[in-house]
Amino acid sequence: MKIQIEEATTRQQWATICAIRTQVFTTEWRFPYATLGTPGEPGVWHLLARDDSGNGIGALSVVDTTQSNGLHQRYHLTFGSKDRVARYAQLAIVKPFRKLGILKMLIDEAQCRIIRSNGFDVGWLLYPAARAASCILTQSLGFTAVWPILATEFGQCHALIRRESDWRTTWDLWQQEPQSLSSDEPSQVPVISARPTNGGTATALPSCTGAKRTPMDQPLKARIERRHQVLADIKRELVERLQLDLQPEDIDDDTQLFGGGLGLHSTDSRRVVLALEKRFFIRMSEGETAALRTINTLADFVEKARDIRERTYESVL
Amino acid sequence: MNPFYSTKENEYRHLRCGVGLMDWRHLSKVQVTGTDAVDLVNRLVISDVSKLAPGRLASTYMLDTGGRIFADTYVWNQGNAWLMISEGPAARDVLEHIRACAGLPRRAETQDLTADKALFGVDGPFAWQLVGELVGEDVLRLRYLDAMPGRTLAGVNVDILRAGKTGEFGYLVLCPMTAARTIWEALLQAGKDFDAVPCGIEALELCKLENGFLNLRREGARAHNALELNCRSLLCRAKTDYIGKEATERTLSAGIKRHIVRICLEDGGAIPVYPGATVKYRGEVIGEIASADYSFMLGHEIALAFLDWEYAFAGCPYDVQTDGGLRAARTVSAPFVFNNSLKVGPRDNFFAVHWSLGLSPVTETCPV
Repeated sequence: MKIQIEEATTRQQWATICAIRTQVFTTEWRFPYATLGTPGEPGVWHLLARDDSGNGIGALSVVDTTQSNGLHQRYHLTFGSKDRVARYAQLAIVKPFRKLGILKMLIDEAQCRIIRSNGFDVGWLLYPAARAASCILTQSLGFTAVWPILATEFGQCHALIRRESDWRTTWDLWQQEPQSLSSDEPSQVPVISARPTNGGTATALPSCTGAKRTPMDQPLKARIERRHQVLADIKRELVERLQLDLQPEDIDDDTQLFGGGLGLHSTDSRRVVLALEKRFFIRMSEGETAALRTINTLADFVEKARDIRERTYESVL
Repeated sequence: MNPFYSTKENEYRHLRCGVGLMDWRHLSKVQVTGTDAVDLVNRLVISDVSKLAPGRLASTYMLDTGGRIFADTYVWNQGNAWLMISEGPAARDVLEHIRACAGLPRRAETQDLTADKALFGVDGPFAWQLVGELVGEDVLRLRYLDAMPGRTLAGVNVDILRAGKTGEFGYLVLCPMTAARTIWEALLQAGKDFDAVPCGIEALELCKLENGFLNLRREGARAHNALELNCRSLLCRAKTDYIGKEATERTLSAGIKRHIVRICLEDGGAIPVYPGATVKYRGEVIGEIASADYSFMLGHEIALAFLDWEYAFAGCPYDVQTDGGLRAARTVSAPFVFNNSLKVGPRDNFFAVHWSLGLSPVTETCPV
């Protein structure tokens, strides 16, 4: 499946976006939401994600809030006097397409197309407080939760902010030659190196057959990117917490934790569990210790726990 | 001596549910002695055995100069000597490898003990109980890769090594070759109370596949280098030298282009998957099958595949090309199975009540 993201400029695209939001916010979550300015109005931009059949599956808006001091005060946000500030708003992804990395695609795309080209310095959004510390926005996309927790019409939320000038998208970091993201054509998903640190080299490798590949499609790329991130976090946490005489990149994904492999003792199991709790904000009950076998089984556990937690939300309000 | 092998499935079920006995006499056993023994052993294997405490074993590999795995080796620090028990090459080839690649330090000597020492394996969720009854309950204190030398079994002086490659409780019994029949018959006799049966290489290889232990004849033979086989955590890059280091470092600096991953084929396809079959994603070849078998425990085929590094992650949907067309597959985490030994607590769960753990009866219909 190929996901295409386009900037909404027509009434038809706008209608599709409204339908997505109604489905997600009104029908599914029963949250109130205000209609933002229509395409073409100043200070507001809309992105629409479509599947390969052309169906609308996700939407995100960016709103210029530079002058909205009252709004910033209400959410305890303080910015520099010269900062241009944008709010990522009303991100909604319809149910069958969640957990495919579309959230990240939309955020990255918004930064490429809108935030940078309009010179915004800071981006922010509201996010459910219960998950703010462990969501992809704070874990992988450079957002930071602002205290205190806010009581909003959407429930308890954190404001998440990111200094946009400091943040580079995944393909900025990993692509040696990023593909251009034309504003008047649906973006083609660039190839992202899923395992940038490979045997001590940070350069992308050719395929094992040496053949030139067609780009990996977005759902698989998102799946692998997410997995890679979890694995890297687990390895780094174990190396640091258990003071292993290894570098994270020296640990293969299927390395056993106990016995052979990392050679941990049973007494280390508690420290592994604590490492997971600290890094991923998840708890492991006694009945779930089967996950303590390899790095990959730990990653399975983390991803499953996150899925359960995130099944409740994937809408940024 | 072992005329009583049965079917692969029956042997497998005994290994997974009860006790299986293995004859490892063919493994090469080379003892290294002398002041420089540790230096020689360290030059032969990829791990750093200089940190290995006396009485401990290391499970490691010997490489050839091209960086491919030459032997799957246990190194036992015996205190005053080092014993290398290797699977793969014959003892004479191991000695030739040492001479050709490592040379002999002046103060190290090697001795081929293969013809002098017999080795038997006792594996399964209740192996601990059988071995404990034969040589004393203190073997239950052994951790994985611990050794307990100088025990008596059937009146014979034996060494007990806590090691195995089935994923279940495993013990190796090392004894003089002259007493091999005595030991084997003692194991068979005591094993009657556990329905223990001799197990052959096919059942063991299925257990290895399920649990992620290297099979040199299969994935080992198809690997371009050791690093593709998930052994980086064993590799000691700080060592001054070891055989295959140059090639290994070259691979590391160029990047590991393939990784071995586990694949489940749950579609019940009529055409089995064989090594060499291509793995595809959306029609594009991304790797090849290295080893495949039917898992009796899981009830479907499982396989190992070398995949391009960018695709080599668990949880991805791929296809395997067979003669009968494409079969749907999914990459999964190692190990494939949750071993029954993890449900059995030594001193708590004895074979006599193994039915209560869902492991009974140990027959062809065993509901593992």
